Amino acid sequence: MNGATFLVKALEREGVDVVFGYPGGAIMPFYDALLEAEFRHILVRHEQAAALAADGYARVSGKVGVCIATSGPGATNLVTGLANAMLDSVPVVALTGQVPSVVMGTDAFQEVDVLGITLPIVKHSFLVKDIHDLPAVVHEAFRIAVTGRPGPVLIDLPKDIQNAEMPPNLVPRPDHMPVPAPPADSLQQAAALLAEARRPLVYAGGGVGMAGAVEPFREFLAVTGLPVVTTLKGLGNARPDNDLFLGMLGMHGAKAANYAVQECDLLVVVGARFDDRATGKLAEFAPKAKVIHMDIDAAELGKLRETQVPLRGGLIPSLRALSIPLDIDDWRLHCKAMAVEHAYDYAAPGKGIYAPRLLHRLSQAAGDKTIISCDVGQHQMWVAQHYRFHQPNHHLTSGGLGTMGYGLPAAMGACYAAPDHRVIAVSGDGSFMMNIQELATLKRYNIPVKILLLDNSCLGMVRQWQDLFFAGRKSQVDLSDNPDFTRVAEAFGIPSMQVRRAEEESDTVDALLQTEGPLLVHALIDPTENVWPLVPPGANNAQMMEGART
Amino acid sequence: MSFILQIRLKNIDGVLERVLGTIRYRGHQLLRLMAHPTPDGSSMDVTLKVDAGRGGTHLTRHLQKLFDVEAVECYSEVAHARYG
Ligand SMILES: Cc1ncc(C[n+]2csc(CCOP(=O)(O)OP(=O)(O)O)c2C)c(N)n1
Repeated sequence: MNGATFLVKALEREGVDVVFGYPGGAIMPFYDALLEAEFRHILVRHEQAAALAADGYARVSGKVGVCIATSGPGATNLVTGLANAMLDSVPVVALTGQVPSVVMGTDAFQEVDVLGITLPIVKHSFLVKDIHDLPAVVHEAFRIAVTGRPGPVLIDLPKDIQNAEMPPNLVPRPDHMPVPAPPADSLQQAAALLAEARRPLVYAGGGVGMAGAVEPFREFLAVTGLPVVTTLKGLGNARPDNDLFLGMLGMHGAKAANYAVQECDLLVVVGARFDDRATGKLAEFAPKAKVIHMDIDAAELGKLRETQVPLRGGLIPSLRALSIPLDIDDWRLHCKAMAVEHAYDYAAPGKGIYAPRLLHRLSQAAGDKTIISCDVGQHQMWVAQHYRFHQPNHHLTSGGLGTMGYGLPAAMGACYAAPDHRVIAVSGDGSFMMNIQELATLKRYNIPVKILLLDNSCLGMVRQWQDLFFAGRKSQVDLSDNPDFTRVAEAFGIPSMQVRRAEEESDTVDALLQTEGPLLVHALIDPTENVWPLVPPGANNAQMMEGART
Repeated sequence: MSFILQIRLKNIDGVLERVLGTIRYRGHQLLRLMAHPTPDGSSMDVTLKVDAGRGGTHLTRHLQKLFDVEAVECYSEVAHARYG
């Protein structure tokens, strides 16, 4: 057996059922061995899409997503996807072909130092120089990707290693490392702070879903009766019918969520990291609050905000230990009243499609087996604001890197991770063009992604900032010469429809929920619509701007 | 203020770059560096002096997260206090 065949078998051993990739010279031995693989290979049309599809697959399945590329340009095309997985802590293993060991370091054809290029954007990486190391490397890579705080791992595979003969001794699958529990005395201190607090609030992030702690988290909320706000990645942590869930906090957060954070006297941070989009001006974030911070990653504790009780370790033991009933009725009533007072209003004057209302309607009709994968921009924020998620892994969004082009490939990955779910990619006309070639992948494999393209003929989010903070001077944001997207879809063999009037919103929802195979819904929306509220840069979260609806 | 870091690393490809990259990215300036392999060649002992930046504890925690880092000790140059 050669290294390439071993690799295929090792992936099977790791439980891989699908990989996303694109072949080329330095990875050809692997692609030859792939012909005998028991798992599927999805041929994307750009390596970036392979990495992003692996990311979407991993977020939905909770398993490691795998992407594959050749050396040189294939490997560099993975870079954005790896950075995306790094910043959002997604377990991905990337396999890259490399030129043969004897010519490495000679600027050989399609040689780049991908290990060096990716050092700061992977959790770990390996360059395999000895065939005997291959079994341990593959296994380590999968273990590292999912252990503790997850992240991407790269394995660079020189072509001669793939061709080298090796004995067929597969390493056994050792268990993943156990997650430590936080120390008992810290838990006691945290419980004491909770019992004392008059206005305690939970600020929860993507860590809850990653730790497989959604049910214990919901149980913790039910027992304590704590009001809760979440980050972009934490949407779906709370039950959608929880009336103490105040929405997303931060730059485009819900008003009730931001006000509650500014008023609270204790912040219970669960798997979140004080990201600047969430905190606004850090020095004025939750100014009256003491902090209990639960996180698996010691480096996050006290990184940006002083923490009275850091709880390093698995979230589940902390959540269980702190599930104590609290006597905070006045604060609960106040939070509920704020949620009602500041609820979104979906009345819009114009005759056109109002994107927030369309997404709200979609949310109401979609049920609990729908996954939404977003691109980046205004539409992404509208999804976060107006769609109620049943689970955090039903919401795929590029939170840390903000990668335009994420939505469609991640949705493809989601379809393979959860074939019994409906997957809708919500995109903007700028973002969609960044991975539009993947329409060919949808067609080839008949991947049933529904695309809702909210087309405002511009780079809406940038245009909004130019209007608000650059005196309306529009610079390079006009996309009014976009192609006819319905015809583009049809050229790829994807059915499509176009909508533009408010009365077509319910047909749009029906089409997205009822169509069997892939579909593109091209929705023309008002180019001047903004995302509200907005915390301007440098302001604290209570200083939200809100403008008129067009 | 500055810190002295004593680090034992697995002696494998890219390991020093990883450590130096982390120090740079986390906002510390490198003031001195000494590195040599252990007698059996499997590890490398590195002594570094860096400026205070955001503090030794944070940098130590980030270095501890690197998989090729076997041990890190951080001393403040003035107080010789030890950080976990
Ligand atoms: C790859 C990449 N390039 C640039 C940006 C900066 N950026 C953020 S939002 C945005 C506009 C997105 O436009 P569109 O996809 O049409 O969405 P809209 O804001 O109009 O809803 C841009 C250019 C980015 N996030 N990602």
